[in-house]
Amino acid sequence: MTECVECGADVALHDDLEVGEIVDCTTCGAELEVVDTAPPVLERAPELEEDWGE
Amino acid sequence: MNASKPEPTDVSPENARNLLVDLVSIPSPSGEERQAAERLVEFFTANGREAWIDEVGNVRAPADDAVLLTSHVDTVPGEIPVEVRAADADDLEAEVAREEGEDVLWGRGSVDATGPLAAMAVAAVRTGVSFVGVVGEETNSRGARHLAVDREEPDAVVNGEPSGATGITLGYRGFLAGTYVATSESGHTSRPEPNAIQHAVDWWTAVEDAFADDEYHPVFERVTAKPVDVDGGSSEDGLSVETTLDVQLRVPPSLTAEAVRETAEAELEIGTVSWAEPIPPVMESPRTEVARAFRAAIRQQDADPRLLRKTGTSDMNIYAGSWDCPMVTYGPGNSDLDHAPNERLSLAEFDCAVSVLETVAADLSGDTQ
Repeated sequence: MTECVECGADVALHDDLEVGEIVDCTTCGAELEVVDTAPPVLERAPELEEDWGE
Repeated sequence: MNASKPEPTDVSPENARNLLVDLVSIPSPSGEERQAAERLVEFFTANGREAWIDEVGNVRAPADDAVLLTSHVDTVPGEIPVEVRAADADDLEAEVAREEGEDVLWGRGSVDATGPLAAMAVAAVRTGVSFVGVVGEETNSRGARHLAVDREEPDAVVNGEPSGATGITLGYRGFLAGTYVATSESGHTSRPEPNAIQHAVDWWTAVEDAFADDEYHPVFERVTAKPVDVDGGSSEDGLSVETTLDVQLRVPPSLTAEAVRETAEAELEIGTVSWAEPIPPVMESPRTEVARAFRAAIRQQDADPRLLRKTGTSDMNIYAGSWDCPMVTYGPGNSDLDHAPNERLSLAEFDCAVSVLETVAADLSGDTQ
């Protein structure tokens, strides 16, 4: 269990968490990225940007 | 083909950069990729990997299919003298380099997509994963089309195009190309009846109107309709007026190429349109294992990952149309310099992208770094 960086609510995490994984805050709906696992650290997941070309 | 995993082989940073400079130095416009392909085969075989050029010209180096690293060998035409220069203020402003004085490689293809291609070749040798260099991406994607039907589906695909060393491209619009042809009887230009040229203009104006969208709507989610070539006038015998109009339409993931074609054809009153085989749009989830591995690898470089969706089209569209495995597109370079006369790539960014690809390949193949 760790805190949502957006709303501060508790976020339940599963045991085999991996760095880079995206989890959801069930309270505010924010998409959060796991940036460390020991102990778990969450950041807001990057948003999709638009770019030109190939 | 799912070959057994070869032993990972070390490639020094110097040899990695040498491969990049060699490949950029060899002109490889679409249809003339052979010499560059041979340099790639030489690189793989010199490092103990089986590699060959297949019947359409692709470089094939199968190994561990936990992930397939693939990019294109061809470039658009255009000679840019190949040289390494020290980065200056212009390079910083163009977001090519981070510091003045760092090495920047100038040359056609350095960004699109020889940089990603060389980075993938090095990472594939260092980790023992599969690699393919495909031909014809800048024209008809014939290399990718052949690969998609000639090869078993890998567990994951990383397609090589410039996303920047910290960017992960998840989506591309699809592509539909057509040729409109109309003929009308010749007559004095003072007569009011529209001729074939006016028919072409009328049709295309109606098509653009049909796809007109709110300018605040993201471009990625719109249809972009673009005329790319036009030819018209009196026929050789002077008895008719003829017009040929080549058009391209970019297809967002919310639509199919077929739906876009039907909309365009519904506006057709006079003339005919022949359509090339469409390329479907693609939009991958950021929650796949390969996307996760990239975010983790980019963070290992002390950078923040970016997720991108691009308004153009790439070979990833072809692979997504044939294979169900997760995929992303990745590679060093600023795509603003795609096809540009000042195409150039920071060698520090190239080194960083090699490290990211190596970490991702090791992660997906079950090795840890």
